[in-house]
Amino acid sequence: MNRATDWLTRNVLERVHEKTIGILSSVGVCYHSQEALDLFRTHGFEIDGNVVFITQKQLENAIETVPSSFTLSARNPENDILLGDGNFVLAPGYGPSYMMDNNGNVRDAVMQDYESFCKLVQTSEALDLNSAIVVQPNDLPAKTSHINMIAATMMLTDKPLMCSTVSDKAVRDSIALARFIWGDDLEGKTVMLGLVDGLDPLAYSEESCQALIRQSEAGQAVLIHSGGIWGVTSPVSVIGTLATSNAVNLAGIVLTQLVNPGTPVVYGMGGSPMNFRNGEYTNASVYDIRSTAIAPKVAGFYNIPCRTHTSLTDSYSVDYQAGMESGAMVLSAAYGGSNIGMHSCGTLGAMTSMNFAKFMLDEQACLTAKRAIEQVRMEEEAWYTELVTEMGHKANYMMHPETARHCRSFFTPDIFTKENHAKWLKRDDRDIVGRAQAAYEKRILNYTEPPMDVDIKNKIKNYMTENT
Amino acid sequence: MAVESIIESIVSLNRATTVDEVTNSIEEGIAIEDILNKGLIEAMDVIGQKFSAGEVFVPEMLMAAKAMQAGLEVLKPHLASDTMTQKGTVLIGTVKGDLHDIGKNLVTMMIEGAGFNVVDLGVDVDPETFVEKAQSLKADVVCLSALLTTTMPVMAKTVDAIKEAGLNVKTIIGGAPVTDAYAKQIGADGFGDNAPGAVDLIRKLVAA
Repeated sequence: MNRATDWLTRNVLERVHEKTIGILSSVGVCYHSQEALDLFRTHGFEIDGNVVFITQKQLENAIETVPSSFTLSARNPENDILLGDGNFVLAPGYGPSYMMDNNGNVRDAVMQDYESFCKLVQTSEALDLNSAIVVQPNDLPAKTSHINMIAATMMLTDKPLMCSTVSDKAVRDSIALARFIWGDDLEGKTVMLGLVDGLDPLAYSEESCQALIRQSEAGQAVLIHSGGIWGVTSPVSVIGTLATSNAVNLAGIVLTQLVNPGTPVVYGMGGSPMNFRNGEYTNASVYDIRSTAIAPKVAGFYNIPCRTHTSLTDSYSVDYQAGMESGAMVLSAAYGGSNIGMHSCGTLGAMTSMNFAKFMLDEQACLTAKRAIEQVRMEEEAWYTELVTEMGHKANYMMHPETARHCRSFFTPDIFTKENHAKWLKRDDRDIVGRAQAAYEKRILNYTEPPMDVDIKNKIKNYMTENT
Repeated sequence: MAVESIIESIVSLNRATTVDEVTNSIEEGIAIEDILNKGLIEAMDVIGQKFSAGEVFVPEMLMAAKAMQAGLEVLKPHLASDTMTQKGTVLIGTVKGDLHDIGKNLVTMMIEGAGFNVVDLGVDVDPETFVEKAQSLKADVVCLSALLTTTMPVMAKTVDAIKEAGLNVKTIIGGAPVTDAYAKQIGADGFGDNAPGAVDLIRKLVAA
């Protein structure tokens, strides 16, 4: 039972699907890409100008070839992750171009910040992969900074990575760099996940089409995301937005399967109304929070892994609002069945900035969310039937060896306050933001770069030198 | 008074009565300039103030702007040919490489509502087009919009191109990732952080 989504029954999902087919077949989706249009034309789709109409049969044919789950391989196989099949993985912030300090002051993000985030991701128990743009470095040329970012992720982490999808060239560069690690055919593995955003309402930009096509050609996973802003880029209702966002997503998925049937796909959906009071984009509204539980149900209807937002906030400081909004989003995503949460650590100010202390505190929330949905012990021994009889009414289980055997298995966030008041009063680091900042500095100080073959590292570095 | 009825109609977001009131005002012989400035434009100033006070929401502001424009259409045949350009001509567009236009469209409606002559170049506009149009239309202000961090550098190129062309035109920038600091960094004349703010800024720049 999830009160946020109990209304989204199988019948309602079928209506969403029916309405989506109506939109795809009669309104169509606009692709601002001649390459994409040519592909659709070759496969016999009806096209009017740059609008493609997709029939129910064409949609169903495409969905049939989408894997229900897939492994995203890391250069250290111990860090491979499963997308789908009930798994829940997390990636940090994606896209901000500013760093915010703990007093709300903003400065341009630089490459050193990106590298610090790579180090945090590598040493994080909460995060499973890095984002393509944890922050956008403003001290590097925009056209080539993606090379530096992908290279940094490859060298400073051995976890899975995301492909840069800001342009056709960015995808090609990402794949070229990946080939240094995995060889020309990438060992037949899925080694990158690339984010492709729809351009609501009902369109894809040229860059998005190119990124989608390049990734699909290489057999790499594509994360298709649509996030209608209710009443602005989609109808002013949940179900109206569901139908249009679903149409955008499925239209993108159809294209991936036309390029390369069997291309792994992740289905991403966000969406909430604008803040109509002031016309500003808003994150982590109650509707955003709710969407983290809605999207998995829609993706589940098509048996495709699902991406949601997590840990977003409109706050400009690491405060109660930031904690509440971010925590609510990641927990809702966990409970709702999200398979991959993005923006999971570090974001402030409606996705405009990153902050290191927030990153550390978000990790605590992420670990809490992951632990909240972990498998419960269900072995026969876990009933402790004999022990209950033995202990009877004495009820001091703490003295029993079983409690000692399992006492370390329970999660307690190590930065949060979890002690009595007297002890807390004696601390000289009562402020949680200060503790988080200190924890970040300590993590960076103690960071060790994961080993990498010297030859591979040199090839990556040479690529950077030659292409940036 | 008729002009007050025009204000009331627009503040009530009623397009049909706005058209009726403007028509009645013309028939009653009220000065055309008064219908424009004391009726239609004044109404949008009231709406702007109510918006800033949180009493009017954005979609309501857009409805008011539409009502105002409907009234303006009735008035236009009676206006002197250069009336709209006298206040100033504003060029607006989303920069090259960026297709986002929601904010730009909102700002466009508000600037029109404030009585400026606005030419919207649309999206994905290269610096050369901004320069060419600013020159041919004798624009007073050029407004640049961007949503993507990767297209913000194009704002800098556009501002540079306008300066290199030696045009006597002010530039302002806006969009979700844009800041006042960035505007200063690239030499723009201002930064609009929301639609009414952009209108106030344009008024100041044109008056200067």
